[in-house]
Parts: sequence; C-alpha cells; structure tokens
Amino acid sequence: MLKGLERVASWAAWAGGLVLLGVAFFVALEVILRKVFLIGLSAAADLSGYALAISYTWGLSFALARRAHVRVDALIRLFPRKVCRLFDVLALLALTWLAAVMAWYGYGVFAESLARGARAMTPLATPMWIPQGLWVIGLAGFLVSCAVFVVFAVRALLAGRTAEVNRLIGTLTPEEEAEAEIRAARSSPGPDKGSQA
Amino acid sequence: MIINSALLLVLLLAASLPVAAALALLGYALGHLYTGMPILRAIGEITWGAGSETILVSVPMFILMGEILLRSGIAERMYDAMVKWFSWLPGGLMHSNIAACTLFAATSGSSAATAATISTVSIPEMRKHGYHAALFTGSLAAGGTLGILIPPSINLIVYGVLTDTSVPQLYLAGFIPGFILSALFMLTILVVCLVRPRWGGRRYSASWRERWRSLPALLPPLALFLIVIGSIYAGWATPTESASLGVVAAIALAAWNRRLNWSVLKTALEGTMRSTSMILLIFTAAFFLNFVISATGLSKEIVNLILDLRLTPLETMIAIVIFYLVLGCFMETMAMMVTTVPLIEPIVRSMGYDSVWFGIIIILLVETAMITPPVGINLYIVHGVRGEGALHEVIAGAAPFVITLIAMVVLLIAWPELALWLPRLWKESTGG
Repeated sequence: MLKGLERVASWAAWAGGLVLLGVAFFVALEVILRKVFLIGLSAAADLSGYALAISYTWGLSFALARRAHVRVDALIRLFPRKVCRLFDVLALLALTWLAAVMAWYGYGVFAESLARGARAMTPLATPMWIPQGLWVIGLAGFLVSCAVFVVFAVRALLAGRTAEVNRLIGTLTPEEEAEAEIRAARSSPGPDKGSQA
Repeated sequence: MIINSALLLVLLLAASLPVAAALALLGYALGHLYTGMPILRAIGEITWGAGSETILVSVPMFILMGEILLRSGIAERMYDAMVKWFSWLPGGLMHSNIAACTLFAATSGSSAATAATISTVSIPEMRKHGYHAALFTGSLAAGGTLGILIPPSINLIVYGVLTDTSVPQLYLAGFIPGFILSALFMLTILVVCLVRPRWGGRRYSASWRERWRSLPALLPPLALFLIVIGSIYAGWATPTESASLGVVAAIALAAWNRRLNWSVLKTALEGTMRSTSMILLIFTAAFFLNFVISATGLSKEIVNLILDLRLTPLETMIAIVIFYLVLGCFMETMAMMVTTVPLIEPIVRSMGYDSVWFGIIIILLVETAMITPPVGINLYIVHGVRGEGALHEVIAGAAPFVITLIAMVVLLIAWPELALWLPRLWKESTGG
C-alpha cells in the first residue's frame, strides 16, 4: 500500500512539475510575443499563479515521502534513539493536523467559489472553481498521504521497528539532504559521453 | 504575549515539528488565546493566496533552472577558462573556484546548486594537483554561497515577498557586495597561502594566447545572465517572467550541449517539486502566522519592546547580526528567513535603516549560515561530492571564509552605499 501511495505521489509530482515547465514556456512565449510582435496575451500571470497553487499542493505528498518537510532536529538528536522516533511520530501528527486544516478550509474556499460561480477579476475571468478544484485535490491527497504514513509509522513504532520509523518519517541527516544535489551534479557526464541519470 | 509566543515557537521548533506545522500551530494558539475569533478559518484563503502569489512563481522557476543547469554541461569549460585566468596566484586553483562560483552565481539563484555544480568539476582537479583538502573544499563551500548574493537569487525574491521590497532593487543592491565578497574570498585564500605556502598546491600559468582563447566558454553563462537579469532592466520582463525565460534558456542550452533527455528532465522536475512544495508549505504557514500576528497586534508590540530597550540603531544591528549567526548554525536557511524576517525587518525599518540594504545584510548572514556547522548545507554538499575524508576538514577549511563574511557584513554596515548606490542610480535614471 505504501509503495502504491509513493508511486501515485511521484506521478502527481511529475504532473505538477510538467505544469510548471509548461508555464515557463508559456510565459516565455508571452514575453516574446509582447516585445517582438507587440501582441499582448496577458493570460500568463493568472495562469502561472494557478499553476503554482496547484502544482505545489500536488507535490506535497511527494515531499512527504522524500522526508523533505524541514524540521529542526538539533535538539532531539541528543536524546536516545527511541525517544527520537517518538518525536518523529509527533512531528508527523502535527503535519497531519496542518494537512487536515488546509484540506478542510481549502474545500470551503472551493465550495464557495462553486456555489457563487465566482470568476477571476482579470481579463481571463477564469471560473475559480476549476483551478481551486484541482488545488483541493492536491490538498486532499496530502491529507490522505499523511494519514497513511501515520498508520504505518505508528504500527512500526508499536512493533518496536524503530529503523522502519526512521526510514518512513525520520529527519534527513544533512548528508542525506545534500545527496540529492550531489546526485544531480554527478549525473552531468563529460562532454561527449552521452548522458544517464 | 511576546514572551509566551516566543517560548511556544522555540518549544514547537525544538520538538522538531515540521517548521510549517510549528508556525501554523503557533498561529492557531495565538489566535485562540488573544483574538477569540475562529481565526483558523482564514487558512483556506491564505493557502490559495500564497500559492497564487505571482512573484512566488519565480521560486520554482529558479529551482528548476538550477536543476537543469547542473546537468547542462556549462560548468566544465567555464571552470577551465577560470583556471587559465586565475590559477597563477598563490593558492592556484582555489582562485578559479571562487571565480567560477562568481560567474555561475550570475546565472543561478541558489547557493546549493552553485556549490554542487562547481565542486563536481573542481574536486577531481584538487586530487590531481595535491591541494590541501581543507582549504580547497572550504573555498568551494564558501564560493558557492555567492549564488544567492549575486542575482538572480531565490532568497532575495523571498525577502522581497516577505517585506514587500522591490526585487529589481534588491538584485541591483546585490551586485557590488557580491563582487567585493568574491574578491575578499580570493584575498582570504591569498593570505592563508602566503602564511602557509604548502596549502597552496601547484599553480598553473597559462599564456595570454591560451587565456583569450578560453573566453568563448564564458558565452553561455553570459547569455543566460543577459536573458534573466538583462530582460528585467531592459523593461522586457518582470522578475517573475525573467525566471521563466531562464528556464527556457537553460533547457535550450542543455539541448545544445546534447545533455537533454527524458531522464534528466524527470529528475530535474522531481528535485524542483520536492523543494517547491516544501518551501511553499512553509510560506503558507508563515503567511497564516503573520496574519494572526497582525490581527493580535503582536508585531507592533515587538517593535515597541525593542524600541523601549533604547538601544542605538547600531547596537540593535549588532544584536541582530549575532542573533542570525547563532540561529544560522541550527536552522535550515529558508525556514530561518521565513520565520524571522517578517518580525525583524519592521524593527530595522523603524530605526531608519533601508529595507533594500537590510536585505543584503540578511543574505550575507544566510550565506554564513550555509557554511557554519552543524546545519550548513554547503558543507555537506562539498563533503558529499568529495566522497572521502572527514567532514571536519571542510568545516575547518570554511572557517576563514566565515570571518571574511562577517567582515563583509561590517563593511556593509559601515558603508551602506556599497549596496544602495546601484539601486539609486537606476531609480534616478528611470525617474521612479
């Protein structure tokens, strides 16, 4: 189940990333059209704002699975390992609370836009429920991911599998934190060797 | 109220709650205790608003641009050119490290990406030429921090959003301090190597002919710089739009160097989403907390409390610098900025300091935080690229540069014009 969740979270993150990439090209196109051909689309500002709101909520679960939500762990590291794992679960519960609050009140925003047929006060006059609907899906997904992680982490904790708790929701050591950046730099091979990831 | 809030925040953060959750919980608690309104309800609108804030769109764009540049292959030839120009100095290749970081910083908005990119090309050279590992790796960790001082800069954008300061002005303010700091880093290397000649490693002297012929390698970073920064001041694009232009240009460059394929793009997007979601969640929570804080009148109380201490502006500034030097050891830098800047900047402004200038001070302190243990991301990046030896070598090697950074802060406090001259020149010339 956890594997499945992580896969869905990755797909959602790629989708969010592709949306951002699309926005980059669209904005670039708009700038060029405006400057070179004097054609104003003036849609990019609206759309890129929505795109960010949607893509970031779609990436929240992925960031959770990658243990990317930053915590200050300098103090708890002084405690014995078992106590650290308790703090890990506490941290996850706090994040789940935030996810629940955001999803609940986010749904409220969406439902109100839908009920009132609210439109953006810009030339595009986007019906707000469309971007907000996609955005609420991301928030709901984040809440579900948090809940699933709570179940698995608490179960592992009660069974005394502390290593598993750490792997699920522990803080990244700074070394692990740096790893992603380094892997990226390494994946850049010499000029004529072709590339691999 | 102030003491309760501060204690609660420290408690929540020290209990290692995710920074976003800690900020939101504090907001909830303060709202509950001091306003009696169902203030949590606002978090829906705030979450939507934080996500759809247009200037914040440039944050994921610069992250994505960095992720692509890292893999685009522009660093190797650029580094090679810098070796030909700078490594005759005592300290040899270490000067090329700083110069390459400075150049890369002008295309990259992130310090971590700058340190990672330049380290990957230069650390193999360190082994080959027998350099003192500590100082060499230290120069990379420190040089990398220039990424956020020399525009473009993710952290300057974040500061601009948090304090409602103009990003184009902040960018202009970063240039001169950026180049001075770069020169001071080189001077640091020079001095250390004159005192300890054995740390200097082998120098390399290129002919002028070789030097000139290496210059075309600087064209790609120069082009990127002109597209991303030039487009803002030419009035072609807003800072938000220029970030998107940068992404497209970086992709074009990667494709030109035949480095672009699906797996490169996929990992770049993953890295972007991971950081973007993390940063924006913290932003959402911070916006909520700021909303509560202004509703309760807490920020005014804090400013008044500080003013009541009757410290001179300079004493206050010294206290702030020390505060950030200590905090920076323990906190991830983006989280540190988002939690503290909205509270501290109004104090600084009320004492008559300039917001743009203070932005540069904050960036210098964030740079210091990136190379001070135990939480200093650049130390770990360089250590990780090196893949051998001990972390404490990198920490020791970065220590002289920490002193240089503090010296730069002192310089900027003594001569605010270093930061403010360019923005003012631009303001006068555009009549705004």
